[in-house]
Amino acid sequence: MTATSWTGKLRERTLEAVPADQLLPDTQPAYVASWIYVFGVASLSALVVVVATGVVLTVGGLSWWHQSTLGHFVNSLHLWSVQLFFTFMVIHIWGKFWMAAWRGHRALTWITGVVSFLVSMATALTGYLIQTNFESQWISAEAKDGLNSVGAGAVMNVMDIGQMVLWHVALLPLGVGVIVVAHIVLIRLRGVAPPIGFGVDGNALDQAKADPR
Amino acid sequence: MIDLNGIGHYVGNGWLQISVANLAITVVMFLIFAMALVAPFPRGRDATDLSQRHDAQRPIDSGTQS
Repeated sequence: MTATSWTGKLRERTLEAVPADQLLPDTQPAYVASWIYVFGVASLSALVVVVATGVVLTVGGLSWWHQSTLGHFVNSLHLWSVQLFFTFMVIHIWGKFWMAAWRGHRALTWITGVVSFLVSMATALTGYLIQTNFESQWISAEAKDGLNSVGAGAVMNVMDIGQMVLWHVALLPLGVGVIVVAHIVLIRLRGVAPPIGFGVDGNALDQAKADPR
Repeated sequence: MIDLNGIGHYVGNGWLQISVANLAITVVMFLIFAMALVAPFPRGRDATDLSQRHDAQRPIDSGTQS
């Protein structure tokens, strides 16, 4: 390490941790040629649509989708991209769980994935709360009891639509975004988890080394 | 078309109760998961033995450590 300033040190540590040729690879190990490895990037693609349609809805305003056919269409795109996002993410988690994808110093990759799933659920809840219809009233009235019972009501009042709009369009998406970026960087850093019993070169390990514990 | 504005339909037995919509999406997810495990993956034009390429994956570990 030769840099003396904090920016230089940060640059050197970043490039050391994630070399440039690892960030956007154009090749993958042979074992990645399976549909089960597709659902991570499918989740990411759905998330891009979720964010893009969410930005448009934010510009239109809370009740825009009630009054405009275009708003209703964008709202439907937002809803169904969220459905796909969670569907792909659940299948992604199933796949990674059963291949014990935390092997090979990938524990933090697994943990960031689980945390992003939990924060995504909170984001989805606040989305349901700001629909400005009877369903959002019903869900907020039910959710307040659950959150109050665990003591979270002091900082998160689900009956306050102004607070929930800010959680949904600012705080929680920012949280999801930061965690997802960290998740992707960790995947690039550690590589895609190989199938149990195989090394990253795609060759079978001997039985002693193949123990996934 | 399915009328989504009507009263929801539920199925269940004993303590278990689930809406038909949630049951359907759960079954579909299981089906997609099973198909992803067995369906053949299309081979691209670059489908060579990537282990021969030095840039295919940085061999930082054997994938066995916890």
